[in-house]
Amino acid sequence: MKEKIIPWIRNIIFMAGLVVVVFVCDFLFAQQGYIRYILQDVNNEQNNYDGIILGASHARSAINPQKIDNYDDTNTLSLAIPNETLKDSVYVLEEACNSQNIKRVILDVDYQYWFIKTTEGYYNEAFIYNQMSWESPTKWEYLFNNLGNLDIRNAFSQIISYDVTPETVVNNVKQKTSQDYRDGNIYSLTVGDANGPYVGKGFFSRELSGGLPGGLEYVEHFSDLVDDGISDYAYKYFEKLKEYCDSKGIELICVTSPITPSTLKIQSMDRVHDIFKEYFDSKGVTYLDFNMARLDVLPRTDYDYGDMEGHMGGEPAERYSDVLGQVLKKYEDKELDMNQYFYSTFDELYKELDGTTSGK
Amino acid sequence: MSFSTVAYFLFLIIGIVVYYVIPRKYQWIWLLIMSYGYYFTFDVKTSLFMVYATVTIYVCGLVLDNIRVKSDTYLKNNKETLTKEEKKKYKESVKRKKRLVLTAGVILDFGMLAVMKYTNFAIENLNSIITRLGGEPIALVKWVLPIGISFFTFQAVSYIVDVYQGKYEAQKNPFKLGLFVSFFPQIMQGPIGRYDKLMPQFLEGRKFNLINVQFGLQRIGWGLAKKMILADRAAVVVMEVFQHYEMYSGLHYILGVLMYTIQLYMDFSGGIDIVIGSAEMFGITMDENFRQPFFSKSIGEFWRRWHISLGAWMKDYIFYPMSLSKAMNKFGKWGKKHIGNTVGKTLPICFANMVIFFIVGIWHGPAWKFIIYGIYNGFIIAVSNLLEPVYKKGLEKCHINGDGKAWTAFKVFRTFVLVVIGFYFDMSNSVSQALCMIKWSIIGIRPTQFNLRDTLAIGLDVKDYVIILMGCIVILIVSIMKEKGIKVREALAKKPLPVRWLVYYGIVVLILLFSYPGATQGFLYANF
Repeated sequence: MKEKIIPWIRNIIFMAGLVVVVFVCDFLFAQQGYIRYILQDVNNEQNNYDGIILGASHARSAINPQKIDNYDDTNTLSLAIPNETLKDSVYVLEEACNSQNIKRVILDVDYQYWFIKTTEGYYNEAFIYNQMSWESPTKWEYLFNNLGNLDIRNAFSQIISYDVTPETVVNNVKQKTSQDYRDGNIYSLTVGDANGPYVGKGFFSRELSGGLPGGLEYVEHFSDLVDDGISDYAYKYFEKLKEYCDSKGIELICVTSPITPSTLKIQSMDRVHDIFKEYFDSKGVTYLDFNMARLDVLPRTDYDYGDMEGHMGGEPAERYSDVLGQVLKKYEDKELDMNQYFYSTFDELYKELDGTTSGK
Repeated sequence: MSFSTVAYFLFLIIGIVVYYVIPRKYQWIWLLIMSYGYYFTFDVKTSLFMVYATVTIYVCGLVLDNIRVKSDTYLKNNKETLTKEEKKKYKESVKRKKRLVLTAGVILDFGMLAVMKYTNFAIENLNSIITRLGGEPIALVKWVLPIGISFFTFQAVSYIVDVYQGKYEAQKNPFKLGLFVSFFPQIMQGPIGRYDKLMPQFLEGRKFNLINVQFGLQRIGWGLAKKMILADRAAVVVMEVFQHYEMYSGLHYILGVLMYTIQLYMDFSGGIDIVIGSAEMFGITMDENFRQPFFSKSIGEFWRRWHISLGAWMKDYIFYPMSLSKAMNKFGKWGKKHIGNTVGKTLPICFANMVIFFIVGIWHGPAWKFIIYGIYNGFIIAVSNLLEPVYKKGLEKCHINGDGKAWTAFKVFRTFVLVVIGFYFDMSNSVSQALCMIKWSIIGIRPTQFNLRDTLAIGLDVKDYVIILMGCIVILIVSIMKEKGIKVREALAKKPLPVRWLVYYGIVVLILLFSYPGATQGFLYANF
């Protein structure tokens, strides 16, 4: 009997050792950045957030939640994370709802994430899942729902954020043994891709060079993306998001933050707008496209952006967030006059923009 | 369900638990359920092709068996009354009937493979003629190629040929035959199994043996390490060089094709490690598909060490039947008479080799580049066979010891170079690209390319090349040990526990730290 049991005990010890090995590797090599900290922030019940902003890098640099809260009696957090897909948004929202009583979700609709044909299960897809705590039911739900395409390495380790160099090990040990890390103090972080300081509530104030932003070639690269229409991936996960919001009684509002004016035509944003408007109308979801915002309400030029792709600078972002706050407030109060804030067509906008897009 | 996903490991765990809990006589049923369940994760509809292959060989097998039993009974009952001539005539008529059934079975199965895999290839070639004549091109068909079709079709055909040859009796239970055709670990990338080796193992049933599970896991870990650390990393350079070949030349091409050699070997052999390891956990021993192929001293030997199950299939079901056929016999006699004894005797073998490698080529995919790849290998083997006497004489004249270490090393190197040249066809998008790359690999070398820092900077860092190099050295050491007859896993199993665990944890740490930080690209041979 003893002989039969001993190999099993050995195996159990071996498996436990395996867990320790993975933990040690994660501790030493996985770089912890913004995602882990912002998730820690939303997991803190004492923060009492009731509004969440979801989206990707455009939303993170464009929307300061505090500006929205100034108009409404709300407490909003931006959970917009660069490269956050709609699938991520579903899980991020669920993660938020584990600790917070969320009443409103503002989903920033960046058409690139909706139109690019994405196949589920690509390697880096799990980058947010990777940073969730094993105590989180959302992490387990993600794991269960993605068993078929989640890479075994990604499932149980934070391999996506590994950097195998001695410097990283030293920095990681320093960081992970610090009080700031335990407290999830985002202000202590240097977030390279934010291009500016952390202001609070998930918002980074992007610093601008003052010159005309670059990256036009990159924008031109996907100028015909609109022809493909909304991807099945986006449909699937938006419907899940909507379903989740409906089941929890959460109000869902979709907005598109304005991008660099001179690229609107290149990216056929009028067609993009029509596609989104039709789709969101069919789903009974409010859609506010701030690319159509009146220039007298929200003056903007290309100089307000960090790049041609449309990452907004800190100061214009504050202005935009202020307008967004006003619009949302009026919408909530059912007093929103669309004509006051928006052009009725892109042609109207283009006429106003003509010759001014890249001028200061 | 890729081998690198969580689902696959969960599938294995659940599969093993149920397999060993249920009575042994039902274990094969569970394997059948698992196999179809596994296939369904890719596509439910195309599993019908697997069912089709099973049904055709099942029916043909029964008919063949029926003919055999009837003829045996007839001959037994009429042993005394039949004349020798009548017996011969009867046997011939039985043989004809059996051959008809065999032909029907082979056509039905290979017909399915041909239609599914090669229709568009045929249309494309037809279109190139039609358009030249000013006609309207035919539209391509939009069929989904069933996963593993080449593997399960070849496996199915091997069964029907074996039954025809009387190697074993036909299987009376279609579900058992279904398991043979669909056994889940091998369905994606082989090895092409044989009925007489697999079926007894399926039906015997297995008692739980922890060692099997441990050994299986070891093998899976080894395969994943090869795939994730080496194959996926080398793939970056391969994709860059072969997809944008207009931008490169000379050493870049040589680097690209060497990386492809690493990618292909680590990918395919790594995948096979996972297949064999998975089967091992269920107590099923599968045939090895690789035996240190890069130690081969000739292309012929290479193909006996590389993708062994395909080579063995070709040998057993095409080479021997063809080279021993009456027509070949006549051809040999004709050769001896008109060309000379030695060459005449070799010619039928050369011809059979060319046919085999033509099939090997087209088996790899519906494209001319694959056909040329096959013919290239067949041609080298044929020429080697024809020139063997000349070659021996040359060695004697030059006083070179053909079995000496230096000459053996030269032969290994020569074979490696020939194999690698063949891989240009395998990886390129077209024959013209392959030829262009081969040409410019030689004449495109520039002195500036010897600045390796620049030449190597194709998608990878120096660190990545160091990882690849170190990985290849480890594989080389293990290969040398195997070549010397050392059973590495068994040797490791005899080491003290801390040493073994250190090795196992080491593999996990290596995968975590050095696997290429990108998607595990699908296994190359899963596309066949």
